[in-house]
Formats: sequence, structure tokens, C-alpha cells
Amino acid sequence: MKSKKETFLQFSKSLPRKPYFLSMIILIFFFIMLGFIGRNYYSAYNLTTKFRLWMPLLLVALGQTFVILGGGLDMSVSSLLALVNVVTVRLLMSLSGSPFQVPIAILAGIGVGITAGFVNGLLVTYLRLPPLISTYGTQIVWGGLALRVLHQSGGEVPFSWYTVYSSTFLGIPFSVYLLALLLLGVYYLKRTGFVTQLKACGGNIHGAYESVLPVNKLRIQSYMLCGFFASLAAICIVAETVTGNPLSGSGYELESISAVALGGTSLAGGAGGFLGSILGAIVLKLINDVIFFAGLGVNYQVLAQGLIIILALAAGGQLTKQNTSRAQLKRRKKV
Amino acid sequence: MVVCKATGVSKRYGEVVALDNMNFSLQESEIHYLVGVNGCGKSTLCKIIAGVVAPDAGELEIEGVPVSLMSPNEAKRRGIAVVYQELSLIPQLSIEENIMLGIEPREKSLGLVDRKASTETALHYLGYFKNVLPLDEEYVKQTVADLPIDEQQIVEIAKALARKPKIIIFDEATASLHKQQVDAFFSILRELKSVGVSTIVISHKMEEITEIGDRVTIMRSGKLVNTVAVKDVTGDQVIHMMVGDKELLERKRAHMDFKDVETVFQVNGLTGKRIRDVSFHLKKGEILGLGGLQGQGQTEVLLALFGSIPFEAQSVELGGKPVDLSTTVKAMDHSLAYISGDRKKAGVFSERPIFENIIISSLIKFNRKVFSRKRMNEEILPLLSQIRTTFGKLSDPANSLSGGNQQKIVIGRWLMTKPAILLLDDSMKGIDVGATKEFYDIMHTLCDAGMSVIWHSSEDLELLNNTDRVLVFDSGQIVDELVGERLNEVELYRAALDSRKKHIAVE
Repeated sequence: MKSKKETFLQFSKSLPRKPYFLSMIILIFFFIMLGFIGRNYYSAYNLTTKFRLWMPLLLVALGQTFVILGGGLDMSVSSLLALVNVVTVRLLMSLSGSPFQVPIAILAGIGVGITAGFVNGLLVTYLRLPPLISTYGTQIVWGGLALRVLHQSGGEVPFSWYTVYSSTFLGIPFSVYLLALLLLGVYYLKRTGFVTQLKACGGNIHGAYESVLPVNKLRIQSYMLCGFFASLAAICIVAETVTGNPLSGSGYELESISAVALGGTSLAGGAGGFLGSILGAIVLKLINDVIFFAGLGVNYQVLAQGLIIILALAAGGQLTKQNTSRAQLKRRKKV
Repeated sequence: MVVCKATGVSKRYGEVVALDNMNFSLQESEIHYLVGVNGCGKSTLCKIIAGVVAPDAGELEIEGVPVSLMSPNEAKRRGIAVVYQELSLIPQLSIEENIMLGIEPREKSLGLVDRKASTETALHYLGYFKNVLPLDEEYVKQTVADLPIDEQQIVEIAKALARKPKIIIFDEATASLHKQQVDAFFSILRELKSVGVSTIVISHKMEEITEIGDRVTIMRSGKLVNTVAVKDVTGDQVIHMMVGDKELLERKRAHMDFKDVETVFQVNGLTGKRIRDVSFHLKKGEILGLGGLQGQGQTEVLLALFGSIPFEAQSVELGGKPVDLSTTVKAMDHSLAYISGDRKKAGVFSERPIFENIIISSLIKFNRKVFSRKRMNEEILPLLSQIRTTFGKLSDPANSLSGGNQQKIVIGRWLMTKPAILLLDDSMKGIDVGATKEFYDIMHTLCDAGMSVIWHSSEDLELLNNTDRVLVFDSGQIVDELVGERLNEVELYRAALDSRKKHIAVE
């Protein structure tokens, strides 16, 4: 058995080779900066509030990671957030007074998310449409449906939703427990080999067919998981805002894809991981805070966000190249 | 017992007949070699057995049961595995994940992958190569993309074995392996044989056949030549059966002596992707052929010289002076021209008029920004009649012409740049016999007028009949030079195949 120290040393040595290494560096840098310039940034109240606000993007990025690892892309998540949002709110309103009001509304929301993912998956696999365009199409469709369900912001949501969502247990917010539970689920999927098989589809689809993997099934499942995570994100937004909004979620498609890419997952599919996407999502959220506290003004936020994404991606590519040549060098030395 | 039998199998791809009434049978626990010259239909036959390609006619029986319209997955269910030369691995996954993909051992309770059993199984199937690989648990966790090509090939073999096939086809699976790795491969073949697995091996390595093969099937032009027991034939007899009757040789070009002619082009130590230390010279008016098995670096040599792919060289001299051929424009300025056989991808602009197609390269070379169409025509029309092109008007789009005439337009384009050296890369691929013959005549006339040609062709006879000298390539190196009487198919194949024997003996 290796000692704890050895294991730790080995881990820290392998760290620079992890695809999410760069996001981690940026993240630590941001956290240190915020410690200096952010007034009371590290107060328990501020951190729990922040985490709640980050939660939807973290969830969508996790879902998006499944799709991207499988060689796809889901542009429809933004409108899906809106659709689940309004469906849940409408059900809450019409079932008001019923004892099953909350479970039905939540399950229906999740059901809509998974069904939408299934449709996306069918389009991409059996109809062989390119993911970018077909999910852009469904983005418009989900958006249109959302407006049919609720044509403007409003609707009443029991305030208990917010109370539960913003509650803490043993000093840790509810949303952290939820995320931990979901990560456990992701870990389970990794251990069943699902994630590996999905990566195989994204890495070399011919090789995946050659290995008799159920390629279409795996890819459809990845879109369904993405829909599932998006619906949870939508429910979090409902709990946070306590109202319905048929336009909520706009921008989440590209933001989640950026988070996944920043986390070191290859947009071409086949390589990457979930931890990276979480780090990437937090980096994206922190950019705004850093700029705010640096006193740069809101107008610079978008510009800086764009520049940081491009820089991080370029540096990440450079890092991958170095790792490859390092692996080859090591091999030559062995021989 | 016969485990696989193909009777009267035929397959056409458009005009090309890949398989013509082919018969083949595979015995239980037999090592069956399949040989033949370039494009004789070996791979097509294997693809039919593996369910990848459906035959146009004929019958296929697996273990005595006739199968029709078999899908690749069904073939796999029936226990047929194929190890291809182009790998089907997932580069981003680890060695273990690749070998166990889709057949992961699982724990009973939660359906999780049993990681310990998975690693053990992967190591077990790689175990045949334990003498040539640093096998341990860390090794199988490496990403396949980080492995050199030979180790990737080994992983591919282990992956096929882990699926416990009854019939396993190796399609040139040993091409990228070293001597010790080949030995390990042989031990696999013997082990498979001892447990009743049948193997079909496509290989160009003659000594492999005599060392380990039970029977060998020789194919030519999509037809069966013979299936014989290996102990009853010699390597030379196999080569003769592959190549066929020598009387077919119809050499038009007279043998000439270039000893006293000036050298126009000299290349020393050319190295690059798929090319290793290639040196040769070219005389004025000479036609130099690049031959050998397909894909041994011939195309890459031409592309490198034309500045299309990067290379390193000790020296490249044109007319005695060192030249820089690092970009295509520089190569063109030094009077080189390259004509690809891939007309659609690297030849004509099919929607554009013939006129534009012809002048495009010379406009760049001679830096002509403004020109008179009339004066251009005075240059173009004699040229087109010289290369016997049939066309309507110069303003017609290129795709209004037949394939042969389109290719002549490309030739015309490059002749207008007044090249001293013409690089031909399988330039007459897919063009009818008449146009091809004219093309040969044109080349001979141009060379008599002082132009030099470096010619790569996948048609061995085309090469042998139209060149003055042939360099035989193997694995990116020149392994032999054929001149005069030695310009025939037997010598060509002997050189291309024998070199591998030497290559292995050295290692």
C-alpha cells in the first residue's frame, strides 16, 4: 500500500497534466484576488448566496458535458430551461391546494426536460442531423412552446420553495447537498462504464461501432441526461426567483459550452471530465465578480469575459500539446 | 471441418471488378495466408467475410450455414473478428478501456465495472507480448494516443482476441511490427490454432508464409489463382502465381542509356512523413518510376518535392545548384510541376471554364496580372492540340469534358508553366485505355524534347512499360533500383517483398 504522502505527491505531480489544470489556476487566482478586493466576499452569507446563483450554470454545464463527451452539442438547453420553468410554475398554480402539488410540478418539469433531450437525441442519431443546427432548431421550438405555456413573466410560486432552496443544514446550503448528490450519480455512471462508452462514441465513432457499442442509444441517453440536468437547473431558478419566466435561461447554451471547454473537455468529443466543467462554470461566474470589485464597470464585463475565455482556451491547447510531447519524450527515454 | 466458405463471389465498384467469381474456403484451426498484387481483391474478400461489404453475387457459408446480407454486427456475433491496418481504436481512451470496450466485466450487485477483473483481462490478452512491452497495471492506463503506432497495433490485436473469435482476419496487421513483435504475433497464431480458432492473414511478407502458414490462397485480378498447402510451394512460385504470365509485357519505350546525359535533379537524404533517407538522381529526358507496394512513401516523396508537405534533406540540387523547395510556389518557380491522379480533389476546377483551368498556374508563375485573352489563346490552342484534347469551346466548363480530357486540361495547365521536371502521382487513375495510351505517347515525346519525369503509379505495368528506371520503395525507403532487363513484374515484386526479409533479418 502506498502511504498517504506518496499518493498525494503522485496526485500533485499529475495535476499539471489534468485538462482542468488551467481553470484551476485561474480559479485560485480569482479567489485570492477577491480576498483582497472583494469586500466581505468570504462571509458565509455571501458565499451561500453566490453558490445558489451559480447552481443553474453548474447543473447545465454538467449536463452539457455528457453531450459533448459523446461528440454532440446541445444548443437547446437555454430554451429548455425556460420551458421547464413555465411548465413547473403553471402546474404549481393549477394544482394549488392539492397535496401532490409540489411533487407533480417537479416531476413534470423533469419529465419535460428528459423528453426534450430524447427528441434532440433522435434528431441527431436516427435522422443524422448535425447537432449544432438541429438543437438550435429545437431551441427555437422549446422557446416557442414556453411562450405558449406562459406568455409573460409572472405566476405564483409558494414562498416555501425559496425557504427550502436557501436553507442550510449544518452550515452547508441546500444547493451544495443537491450538487453532491448529483455528482455521486455522475460517479456511478462513470463506474458503470457508461461514460467510457460515451467517450468512445465521441472519440472515434467508427471504432465505437466496430466494438459493437449501442452508439445511438448511448448518444440519445447523453441528450436525455443533459435534459435532466437542465430541468433541475430550471427548478432551481424557479425556487430562487419564486416566479415563472418564459425567457429565463437565455445565454445558458453558450455559457455552458464555454464552461465545458474551459474545464478542459474537448469540444470535438471523447476527452474530458465533469470536475473540469464545474471549475469552468465557477470561473465564468467569478469573472463578473472580479471585474465588479476591480471597479472596471459593468460595460467591461462582457468584453473581459470574452477575452478570458479565448486566452484560457488558447493556453489550454498549448498545454495539451506540451503534455503530448512530454509523454513521447518519457517514452523515448525508457527505450 | 470448413468454417467459412465463399463460392462464386463477385463484387464490382462501378466499372472496376474487385472480385470475379472467387472461391475460398477456410478450415478449422488453420492459418490461411491470402496474397496477391496491389488491388487484386484480397481486402474486398475479407470485407465480405466480415459483413462490411455485401457481394453482388455468390454465396457465403459460416460454419456450414449459408448467410446472406450479413451485417458487421452479425458477423461479430458469429465469431468473426477483423484486425485492420487502419486502426479502430479510440485514441482518447486508455489501453485497458479500448481492449475491454463493450465487454466490460461487471460486479453482480450494482452493475459496476469490475475494475480489477478488467485490468487483469486486458493484461492477460496483452500477455502474449510480455517480452516486448513493459506490461504492468500502469502501462494499461496509458492513453492510446500517446502510444507509437506499433504498440497501437498490438492493442488492436489484443482487443480482437479479448472478444474470443472463432475466425480472425488479420489485414496486414504485421506491417508496422518489429521482428520481436512479429515473433509474439506468431505465438498468438500458434495458440489460436491449438484452441481451434481459424485465421486468415493478409500479408506481403513471404517468409512469414513459409514459417507459419498452413495454406496459402493466391489471387489475381479478383480471381482465384490457386489455394495450395504451404509445404508444397516455394516463395518464388507464389510470386509467379501472384504476377501471372510475363508475356503480357508490352514495352513501348526503348531502353536508353543515360550514363553520359547530364543530371538535372539530385536529391540526397530526403526525410519526412513516411519517407526515410531517400536519395536519387534524375537525368535530362529520363522517366524515373517510383514503384513498390502501395503507400510506401512514393506519393509523399512527390508531395515533399513539390513543397506540399514538410521535409528535411541533406541536399536538393537542380542543375547542380541547391534549391529551396519548401513551398509549392517556390517549387513551381524552379520549374517543377505536379499532376495528381485525384482529379476532383487536386486537379480541375470543375465549374470554371477550360480557359481559366489552363492558365491559372502560369499566371501565378509568370506573375501576369493583365493579359490579352487573344494572345493567351495563341498559346493555349497549339498546346491543347499537341496533347490531343477534344473540347467544344474554351469557355465551356471543365466538367463538360470526359474524365480523360479533364486530366489533359490539368496536364496542359502544367505544361504551360514550361516545367523541366514533371511529377506524376498516379495521374491516369480511373481514365479509359485510349486516353491513357495517348498520355503515354505525350510523355515520351516531351521527354525526348528534354523534359524529365518522376512517375509514381499504382499500376505496376504502366510503370514498368513507360519508365527508364524504377526505384522500389518499402516503408519509406528505396530498397532497389530496376533498370533495363530487370524492369519486369517479377523483379519488382521480388524487390518489394524481399526487402522485408532483409529488413527483419537486420533487426
